[in-house]
Amino acid sequence: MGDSTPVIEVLGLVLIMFAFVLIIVLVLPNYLKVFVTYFLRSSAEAVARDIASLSSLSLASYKTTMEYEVKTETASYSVSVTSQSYLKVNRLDNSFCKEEKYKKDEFCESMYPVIYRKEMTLLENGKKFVIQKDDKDNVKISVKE
Amino acid sequence: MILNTNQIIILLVIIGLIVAFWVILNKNIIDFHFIMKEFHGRNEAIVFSNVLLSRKEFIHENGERMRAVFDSQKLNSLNGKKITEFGYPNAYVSVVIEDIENGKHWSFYFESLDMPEEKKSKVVECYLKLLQPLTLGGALFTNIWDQYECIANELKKGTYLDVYPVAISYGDEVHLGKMYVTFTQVF
Repeated sequence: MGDSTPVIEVLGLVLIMFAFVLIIVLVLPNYLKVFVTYFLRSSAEAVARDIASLSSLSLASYKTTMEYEVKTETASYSVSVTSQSYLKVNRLDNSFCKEEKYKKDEFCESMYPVIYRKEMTLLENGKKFVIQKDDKDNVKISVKE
Repeated sequence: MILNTNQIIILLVIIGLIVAFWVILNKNIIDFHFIMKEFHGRNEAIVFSNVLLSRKEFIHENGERMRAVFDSQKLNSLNGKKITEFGYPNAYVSVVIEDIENGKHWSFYFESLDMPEEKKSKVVECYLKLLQPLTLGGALFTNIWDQYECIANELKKGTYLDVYPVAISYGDEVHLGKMYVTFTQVF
């Protein structure tokens, strides 16, 4: 009987360690993955790339309406198209992006080229966007309420 | 050295965290960040080609637009010219459309808005390789490949050459063809 106690303790310890390893190696990465995916998909760079690609591709259609929504609760962006055919996205909600030294960071501000040559006014505070292209080749991006 | 229970647990936690971060770094950061940048030009080239295949300036219209069916008369009027109506500001694009049934071909290009003047003249020089007389045997692709290599060597940037199956309408008949798109990011 004297020798059985350490064996049970060791087995218990092994089980606890196994559970720890399972939690850390299998469960934690999934939580971190969700966090990182959310973080990257809501970055200005990802949003700029998506809207620039969709609005450029709209020129392949006769006329079209597309809706684009960033699946986050708090994110809001401003979108504009420069006279040099670059779509510029700024993330507005994040406190990190309000600091001067991080304003030009890819997470906060990003520019992607577009095919069409039309300047567009700044759209403030949106996370759902509607991309419309009419039969006269006018591309319009607006915020969906 | 014999580790006690606490030390073993701490060691396992550290190993687990390292593995977890490796998984995150490998699967997510690389996927979203590096590959996204890597394929940025590729994505633009595909978008551009899809727009070309559907634009009214190039394709045959018979009451409605016929995707990937080019109109020979429209191509005749654009042959050898620079197109300015649309195009990426950071990309030089050269397009060759070849009728594989009769060997006829047309070419035109889109210039980058941002490209410095000396680079513009270099890529136009490369473009002229398309207009050289065809080599013995009439291999148009040799000229296209020469242009591709010329641009890639001059600009030392991402250059992609894609080929798409298309059709060319002559009004009463339709021929099979190929569209070669040489897409170069300027920065």
